[in-house]
Amino acid sequence: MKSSIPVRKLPAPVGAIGRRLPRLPASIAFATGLNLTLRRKFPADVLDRLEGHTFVIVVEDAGMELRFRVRNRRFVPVARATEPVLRFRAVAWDYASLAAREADPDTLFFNRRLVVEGDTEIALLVKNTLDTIDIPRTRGILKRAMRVAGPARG
Amino acid sequence: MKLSLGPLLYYWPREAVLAFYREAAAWPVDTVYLGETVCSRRRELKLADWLAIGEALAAAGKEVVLSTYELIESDADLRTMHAVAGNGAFRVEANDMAAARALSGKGPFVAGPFLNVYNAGTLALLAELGATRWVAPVELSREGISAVVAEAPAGMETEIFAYGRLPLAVSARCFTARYNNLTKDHCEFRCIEHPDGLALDTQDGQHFLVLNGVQTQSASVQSLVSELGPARAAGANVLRLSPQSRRMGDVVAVFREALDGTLAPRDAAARLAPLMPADPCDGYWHGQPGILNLAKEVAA
Amino acid sequence: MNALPQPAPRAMKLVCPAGTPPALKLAVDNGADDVYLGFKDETNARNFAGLNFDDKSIREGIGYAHRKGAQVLVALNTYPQPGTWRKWQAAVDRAADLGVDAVIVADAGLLAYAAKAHPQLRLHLSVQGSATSHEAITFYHEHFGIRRAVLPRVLSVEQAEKVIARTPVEIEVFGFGSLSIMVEGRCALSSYATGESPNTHGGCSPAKAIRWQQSPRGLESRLGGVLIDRFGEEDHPGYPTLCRGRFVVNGDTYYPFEEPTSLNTLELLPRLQAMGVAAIKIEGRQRSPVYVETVTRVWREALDDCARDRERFRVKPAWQAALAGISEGHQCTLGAYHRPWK
Repeated sequence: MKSSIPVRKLPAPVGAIGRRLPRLPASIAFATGLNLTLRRKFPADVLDRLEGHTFVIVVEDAGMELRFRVRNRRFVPVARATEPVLRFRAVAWDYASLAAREADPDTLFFNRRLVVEGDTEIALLVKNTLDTIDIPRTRGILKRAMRVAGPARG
Repeated sequence: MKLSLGPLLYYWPREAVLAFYREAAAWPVDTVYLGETVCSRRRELKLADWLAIGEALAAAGKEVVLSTYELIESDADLRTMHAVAGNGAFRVEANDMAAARALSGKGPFVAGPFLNVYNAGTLALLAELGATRWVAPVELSREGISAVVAEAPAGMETEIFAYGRLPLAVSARCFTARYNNLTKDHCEFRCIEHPDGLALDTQDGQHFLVLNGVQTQSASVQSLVSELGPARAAGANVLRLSPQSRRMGDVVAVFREALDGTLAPRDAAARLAPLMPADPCDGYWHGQPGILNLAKEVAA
Repeated sequence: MNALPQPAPRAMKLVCPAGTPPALKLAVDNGADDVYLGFKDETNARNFAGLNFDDKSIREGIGYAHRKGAQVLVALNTYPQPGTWRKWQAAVDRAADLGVDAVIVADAGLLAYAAKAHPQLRLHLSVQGSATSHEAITFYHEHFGIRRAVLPRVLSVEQAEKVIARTPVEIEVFGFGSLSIMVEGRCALSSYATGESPNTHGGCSPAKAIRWQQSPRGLESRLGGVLIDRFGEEDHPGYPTLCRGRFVVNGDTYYPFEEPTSLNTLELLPRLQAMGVAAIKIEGRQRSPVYVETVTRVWREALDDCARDRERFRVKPAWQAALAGISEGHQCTLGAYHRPWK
């Protein structure tokens, strides 16, 4: 059932490898992806509110930490450890479920599957803005990919 | 400016209530609001008792106003409200729209603090129905009150909550009963044990709220005793002092002297402090969180 | 329940929330009869950053809804503050010009303006109007011709039934969502701690006043600096609204107002339909499109089942499971409709 997506984690070795990989390339790839898919859909006033702020997305089971900042209304990768305005923590599957609109962010938050640390107002602004955006093609691809990945192993 | 004694928000034993109002007859207040406004289960006094108290106070030269429930749920609540509205002797303060309707076109009434008058449009409407005085919601700031007054219908009196624990919320559910693991219908009237409300603290020890049956109040006591000049300038005509169980007469006296100019604002605040059941607050008046006490910060 | 045969009541309308255009589409696609939304400012009670609709998205939303036979209601359910009256007045004009199907209003002065300036505009009395008796509702009906009133969540089923029997106004009740223990429109707890409340600023517990802090005693949530709750590793943290906080009374640490629960009245549907409830409201304009999709789908199915045969209506476990998965606090209660605490 859509509303009670079981916990699904990447195999442990994936995380072990992920933790040894350099962080910057992944952040570069992620920021580039954001600019391609989301930037044009983000209202200018929202990007202005996020201007200068650093965000960290921790993919726990992949041992991955993605860092980016909003500069001149673009997403740019960040190498050094600056204090982020928001830090998200979750497993890859839950991020994918959120992006595919298969999971409810509040539900993941209440269940501590999605941990959000930092400025609550900016967190809600980001959540609400993402909720406003329609990217049916990207979502379709994600949903298919998740179906291929198969049922959860608990 | 006039002084009023607001309706008694707590549940006191019958004898305590009678004694309180016997004393109040001699206090320098202009108006006294009477009646049960919080919970229809509280029956230490019946309407006839309130009317008798009203007659004694009127004989002592007070303007008497009867207040209606702030929450009406049942047919019995409606019947009580109608009995109060049609009491025939005293003016009535309406605390919900059913009461405003019952009073409309039948002479002057008071638009109570729970009618949610946040703007001149709503006030004009109530004036058409017969309201001649409005009591500002506790959330409204000095600036807000002043803006409503600027556009208020001619002859409309403005009353503000000048002293007491702030009535912040009302529910169908009784939190005093809940604390005692009792149901509302078998509450054993335990709120009678808390003549100034049941204290509620945060987990790190901040005195935050008090439970008063179905009503929730601030723990801090709002006091505008240092703000009488600004209150006058904002257009307030009546200062409401909300009853507390101890030394209420002394509280009234401080406000009276401060109003008459025989007591400087700073001295008034100092005299009031030991009379209060908790620390003061005045944030709402300044357009800030109600819990803040800005008078202290100015003085410091 | 009444044993006498009764005329078949009309099917109840399903009124669903939309904080964003995708939520509106999902509500309509999944069978909402009415979708309610708000402008991007304090004229509505879910005035949160990034949420709500501009004129373009409302126009598109109305077009989409009307093509699929649904209606769009605009919530103007806060109290116009002194000095900003024109803003609310303009919001009513804007809603009327956009061609919305109804506006949901709390303030008596604003209702008076709407009734006078736009006599054709359908008016609903918001739950924030705190009309808890048929006489209060009659007041709004006599003066402004309101067509529907949303009942505050504090009333029991018996009380709601009496209200319905004695008013010509359609009655809408809350079916599902975040449960407020205080009478709507009569709660200033939020502004006491933060300076902003639903009545004054269109929101309870504004996000900018919230702080989450990890402390040696657990994860702490604060509102305007006031400690609302502490959570251990196993606890599920909720949004820090004051009436869901854990506080201390005479040394007891507990939820003095209520456990963080959600309202869910599925099992009452036959009763609600029999007593003539016109519409069921789903709370949650601040929630995600996934939430709106799930709740709308479940409630559409349930309302259809109930309309087909009220006597045989049974709550399906799959519905409850779906709803439990998106509820805050993970419990579903009947709220004040059923009063174990009474």
